[in-house]
Amino acid sequence: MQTYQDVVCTVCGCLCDDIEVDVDGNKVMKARNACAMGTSKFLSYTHDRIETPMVRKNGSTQPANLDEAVTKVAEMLVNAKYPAIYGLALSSCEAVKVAIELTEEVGGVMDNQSVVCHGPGVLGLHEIGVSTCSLGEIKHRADLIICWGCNPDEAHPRHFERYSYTAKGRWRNGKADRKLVVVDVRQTSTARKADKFVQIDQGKDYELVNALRTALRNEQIQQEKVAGVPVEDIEELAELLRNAEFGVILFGLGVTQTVGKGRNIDGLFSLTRDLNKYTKFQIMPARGHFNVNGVNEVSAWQTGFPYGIDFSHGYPWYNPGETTVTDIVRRGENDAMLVIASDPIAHFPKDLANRIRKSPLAAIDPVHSVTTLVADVVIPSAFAGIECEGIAYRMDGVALPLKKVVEPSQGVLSDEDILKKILGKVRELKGRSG
Amino acid sequence: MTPQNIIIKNGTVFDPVNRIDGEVMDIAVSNGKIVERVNESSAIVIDASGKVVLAGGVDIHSHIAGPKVNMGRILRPEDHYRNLKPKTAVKRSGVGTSCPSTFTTGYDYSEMGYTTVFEPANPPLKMLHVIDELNDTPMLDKACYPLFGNNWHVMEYLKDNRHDELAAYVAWMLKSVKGYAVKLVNPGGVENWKWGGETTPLDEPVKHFDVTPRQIIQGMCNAVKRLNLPHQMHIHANMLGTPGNYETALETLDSVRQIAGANDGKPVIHLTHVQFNIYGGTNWMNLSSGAEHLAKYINNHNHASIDIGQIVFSDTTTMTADGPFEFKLQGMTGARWINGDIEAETGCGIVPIHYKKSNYVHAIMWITGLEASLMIDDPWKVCMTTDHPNGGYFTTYPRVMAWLMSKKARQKLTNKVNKRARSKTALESLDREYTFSEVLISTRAGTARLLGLKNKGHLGVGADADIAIHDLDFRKIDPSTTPRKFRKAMQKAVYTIKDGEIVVKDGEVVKSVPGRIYWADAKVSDDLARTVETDLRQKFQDYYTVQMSNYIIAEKHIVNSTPVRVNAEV
Amino acid sequence: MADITLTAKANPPFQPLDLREISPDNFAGKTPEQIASLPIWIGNHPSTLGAVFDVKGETSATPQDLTITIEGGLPNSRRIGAKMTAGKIIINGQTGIYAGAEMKNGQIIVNGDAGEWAGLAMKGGSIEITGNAGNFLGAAYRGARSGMKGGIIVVKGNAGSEAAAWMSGGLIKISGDAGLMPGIHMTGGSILIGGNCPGRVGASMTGGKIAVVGKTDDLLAGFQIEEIKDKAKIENDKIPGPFYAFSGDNAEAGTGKLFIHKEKNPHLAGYEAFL
Repeated sequence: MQTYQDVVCTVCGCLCDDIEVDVDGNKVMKARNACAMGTSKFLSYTHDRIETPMVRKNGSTQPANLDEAVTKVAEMLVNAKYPAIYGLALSSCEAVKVAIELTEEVGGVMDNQSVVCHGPGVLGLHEIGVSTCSLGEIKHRADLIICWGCNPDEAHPRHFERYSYTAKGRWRNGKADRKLVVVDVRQTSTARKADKFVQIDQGKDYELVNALRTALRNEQIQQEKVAGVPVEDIEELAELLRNAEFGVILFGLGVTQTVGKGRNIDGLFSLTRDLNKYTKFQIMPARGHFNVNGVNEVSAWQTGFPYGIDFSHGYPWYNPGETTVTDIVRRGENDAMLVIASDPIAHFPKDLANRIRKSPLAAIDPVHSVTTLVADVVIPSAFAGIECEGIAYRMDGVALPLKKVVEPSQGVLSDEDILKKILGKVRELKGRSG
Repeated sequence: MTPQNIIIKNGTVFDPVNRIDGEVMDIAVSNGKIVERVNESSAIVIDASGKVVLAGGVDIHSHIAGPKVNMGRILRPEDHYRNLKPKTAVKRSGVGTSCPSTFTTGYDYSEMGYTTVFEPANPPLKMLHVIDELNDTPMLDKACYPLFGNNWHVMEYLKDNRHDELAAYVAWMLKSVKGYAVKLVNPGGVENWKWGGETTPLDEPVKHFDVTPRQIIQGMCNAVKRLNLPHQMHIHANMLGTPGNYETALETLDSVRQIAGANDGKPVIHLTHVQFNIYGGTNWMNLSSGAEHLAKYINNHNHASIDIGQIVFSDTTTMTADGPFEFKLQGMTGARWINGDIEAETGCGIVPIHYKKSNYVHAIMWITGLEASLMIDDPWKVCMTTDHPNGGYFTTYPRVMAWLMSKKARQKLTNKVNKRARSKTALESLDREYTFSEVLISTRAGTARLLGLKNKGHLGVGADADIAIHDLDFRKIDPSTTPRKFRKAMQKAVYTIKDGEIVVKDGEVVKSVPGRIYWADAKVSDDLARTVETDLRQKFQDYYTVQMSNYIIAEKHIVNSTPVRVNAEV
Repeated sequence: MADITLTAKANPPFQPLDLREISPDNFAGKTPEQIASLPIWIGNHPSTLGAVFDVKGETSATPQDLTITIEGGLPNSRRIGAKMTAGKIIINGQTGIYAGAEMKNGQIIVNGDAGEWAGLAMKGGSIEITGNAGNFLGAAYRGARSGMKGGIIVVKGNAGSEAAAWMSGGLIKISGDAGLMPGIHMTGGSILIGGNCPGRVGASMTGGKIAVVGKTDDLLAGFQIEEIKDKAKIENDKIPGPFYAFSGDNAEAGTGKLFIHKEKNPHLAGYEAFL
């Protein structure tokens, strides 16, 4: 039995890096320190695995060898005039780099799961900027934590203990020295732990942000309630924010993906900026997929843009709404799609899922999904952070090295190696045709 | 593939290190190095007649990679839209004007004849990110300067007067996160900003830590000296961007004068982008250039070097670890603002800015940088930078070089700047024009010397074959009277040779090479190293949110990892 | 006057069609054959206008005298009339994204619907859309804090969300309904919404004017009532009211003006107590 120390958990954007993993005979026996989600991933990564590459022949998918599958994907991409490559939030940054090079080579569009999670936050950032910090800053200094449209108690179970509410920092001894405020449409489990729960009307986040900003400026609010919250309560909340020594807003999909999307975050970033005139205030997205931040970071340094990158004219171009996969599919403009460890057929709206299926579809994934079920080509892959190494970025942008604790099944490669094979085949095909 | 032998024939060679000042001669290259001679029959022959042959450019201070630069990229899609670069047979695609993508950064530098660029401000906690971006920045040799000025361990060792341990900790850090030099940014002031405080003068104690910025500066300077690091302490001083801050700059320089000891000629402090730190006046309305005060000090002392941080009138992006400065800047301009504080270490701020000729303050800034460049006599003490992208993009260097070499070029722009600013300047009375050799000193020979890169910045036998050839014939182009032609010639190299390979031809990258990443490996006594590791193990868990083993960067993550080993005095 | 007609061929490609070459500036002085050979992109595939259109007619020496008529809807088109400085484009059918983006002068008439970002960062000239307009009408590029600076956009149908984001000048008239957040971050210029708007009118505006003749949801808290006016003056038009006149967005320390029709919005009667 071998024990690996300081293993990085590859579930959520917390990237807890203190996991101890016991391995016996290429099997994970135990994962200490991990939360329920992490434990479950480490212990059941062998479940539901795709055994072999599959290629559609005469209407049905059949087992194939890797080269055959890789060739099919390469042909699909080379023959397309507007192929989309989507996913990667569960891949290592090394895989992301190859995916960018591949998309550039085939003149396609590369997008990641940000488009359906925190991408709108980026749109807010373009307009306002953001005041943020590393997680340790919250741990050491925050005396006020606002969870807005997020539920770390269930979605990021160790966030509070390692980084925020209950963490022991240099100047804050756990929750005794902090206040927790939750803004949400329903009383989540996080809200039940909070010192204050502000229940707001569905889809009225921007209204509440605007009212808070107005109250901060000591301007009169000529309404009785905003977003279902009495104005006196809003003014009281504004005072609470203003009087914090170090406040932080953590936000989630409850505000990025509701009415107004990026503009909600534009508002929250503005609020945070405004608060810095009175005190110290920070804001941070509670990122979901463990490396969705890494895809954004690598994409940004290699292409200038964090997601929805269109290489069709040879240079990178970006405009969410135009170059994002959801919008491209909605307009029916793509003619092939390669999905990497994501399940758009299950997660996108039904009409979009149906449109994706109209053109050739390939999927790289460790496990079965609705997308792999309907794809024309399927290639099984190894789990980053369990079966292969790589780099991933925590929700606050700290890069951490992923460990390989077990060997993948024979013939199963990492996303990085599969994409390299596809890129090689694409270049071979283009060389032949050109 | 081993690089081929090359002979550069009949070029006009400028090599200030070896006192060659425009001599027509041949330069031979073999195995990536400059050699006495090679067999002509098997070598690539480059006819450089009518062209200048120079050592490749060495940039001492340019923000090209890392979390801060990347936040700038994400902030500014509209900046990228101005410059979209398609993929070619050799080059990857890219974008960017003030925050270019990594590939584009490498190509643009290389096409300008630069071969070495050092990234000057990195949070150690995010160094893996920095390294990973540098891995993706081709064509150049690179290194990074981790930030120490607001580091908790540093302040605690100083408070406890444990100077040996401090030095050993610095050595541990550089080795662990693969840093090359020590950077201080607004020492103490950034820790204060993390409670919403401001930049601090030198003798105000840091909140909760009971040490002063002066103690941090002196303590770190001493540590760097005792470690024998290749580059001296590199500092962004306190009170940056504040009227009247030239006094703090001079105090900062003077605070470490004793550390240099007797006048041994080896500087112990590099004061960076001085332009932002040497203003006179008491408010923004009466802001003035304090360049003469700085110049007087530098001219009379040998323990300090500087780089300019010249501004260029353009729409660019300011980015620095000096969080409180950027907060103040966004308050004044209302522009977009990014802040990024890093636990136990440092901070970061980003604000786009458009420097305008008509703006009084911006005009004073432009004048201040040029005055400092022209008033300091010894070019070996002055590095030409724009603090890319803070003052302007690195691609504007040829324009700055032209200003240094041509009074005419300066005057042409002076005529267009804010009249009130113009009336307050000594710039128009300065007749000095840099010689070409002086420009080369401030862009390669001097920078390489200050960085301790013995094999760079010159063309002597044994030097790295990092060479730039520019289409510059001084019989036809007089930089003083035809600055535009000079600028054009310096903008695109006819050839750039990196480690003995032709990588640029006719101003276009023809071969992509990865370049290497330098870092300092300072050997301290085993006992001291053990003590420090024990200290760190105790505190790491409390201070950081990552495990110590994951903080340390394995060499396998670095493309062409190149440690520079030195023996410390501790 | 000269006319060029581009008739879309049957079964046009469904991938994005980059048609930024279609403008009187680029067509002036060229024969139909030369026009047909102008470059376009079909997705990642470089092609020519002639591959998608039959080109007929006569061109003029200068763009001012040239009218380009496009027959047939191309919802996947991009940038028709972008950066044009003179002349006229008539589109008989649906058009895609960025119609008239960065337009400086001249006229575009879309007899049909227009996609997102029509009149993006427009500086002058006019765009008339007889059908509906998509989101981001007359808005700004990502990260650019400047949207429409001048000119006129008239939409006979409805417009999508975030019309006139970062607008600093010019006029947008929407006869039908507007989507969420018209005039967000606007600093100047005027918007007239003939129909209804779901809400967040003038969010974060610091200047300019917006009139809503139909219904809207609750206003943002950053707006305070100033008076009740019989008419709202939008450029040269006096729109019959009465209107509640508000100032804001105080969240952004703004001094923009909102005119919201009094009778269509009885739920705002509570504001009268503050007069």
